[in-house]
Amino acid sequence: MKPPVWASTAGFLIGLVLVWWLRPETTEGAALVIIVCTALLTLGGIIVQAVRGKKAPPATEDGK
Amino acid sequence: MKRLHVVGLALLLAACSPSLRPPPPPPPPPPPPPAPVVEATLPEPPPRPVGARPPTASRPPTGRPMAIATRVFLAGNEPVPGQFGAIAVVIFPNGSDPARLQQVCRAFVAVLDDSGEVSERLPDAAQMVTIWPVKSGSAVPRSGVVSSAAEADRLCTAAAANYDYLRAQQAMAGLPSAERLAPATRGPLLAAWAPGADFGRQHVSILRYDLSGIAGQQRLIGAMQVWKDKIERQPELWQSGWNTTKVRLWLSTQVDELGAQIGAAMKLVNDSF
Repeated sequence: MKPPVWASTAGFLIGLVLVWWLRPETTEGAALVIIVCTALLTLGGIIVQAVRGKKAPPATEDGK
Repeated sequence: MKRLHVVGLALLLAACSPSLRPPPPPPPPPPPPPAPVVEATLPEPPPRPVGARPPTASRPPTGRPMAIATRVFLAGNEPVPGQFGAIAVVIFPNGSDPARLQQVCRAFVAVLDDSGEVSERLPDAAQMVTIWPVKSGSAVPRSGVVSSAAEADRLCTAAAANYDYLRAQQAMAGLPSAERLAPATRGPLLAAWAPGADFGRQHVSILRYDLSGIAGQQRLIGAMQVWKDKIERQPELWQSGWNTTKVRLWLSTQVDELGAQIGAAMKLVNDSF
């Protein structure tokens, strides 16, 4: 399965926005926000990809 | 699907950045506050003698009685002034950390106006005064403008060392049980009675803000600013709902504390090897 790069990127960006909004006073706090956001969206991306893969009709042998 | 995510991200960005949003329309009339909270209004000030100098500040255009959030360090033997528009107390649980008291005190001094100075210009009824209780006989001045950080530090060191827990407990006893500071919380709880004559009575208008979840000097200053703004502008809305700043301050504190815990745990793991 391809890694859901778009989800990781979105998670990272959302984490950055949240850090800007929350303005944590420690580096650990800021890192935690970014890591949690990235991890959650990556997980979400994997789940979405898996669900979409399941729903897709099985490919026939001749590729049609 | 991709488009959906982009739209979602854009919505989140818009929601998270208040500065990017256009100014909100004027708020609708406030809903009636839940019982037992009664709308906090200031009593009418006494009539001004003819020829007396008018107050320097003008009334807000809304027609609401003017309210200024002020501060006072009140010693244990001094009576609680009853002529103020509202009286609030900074309540800490017994045995609080002196460093925490000092931090809160610095925010208290930095944000709230000095009661003595405001009293020279305006009637007491216009003040919503927040009391920092200190032990009788302490060297903490009742009021006074603090002009430098060093002065604030000196004042707050004394105010923290002489915090009057007994008076704080008395004030807390005047709160309904559900509104008191939860056990094992670090406080402080800011509780205000309006009008001031109702101080310590139950079944009257009480405003409360629990700062237990807020840590860090800047955040405490932000929280004190929320308190000031709320009691000055929207006392009747205090207990209904939440506001973004309160949530942000609380979340930010939790993130920092959790981050520090994880950081400390990782250091512990490193040390063990």
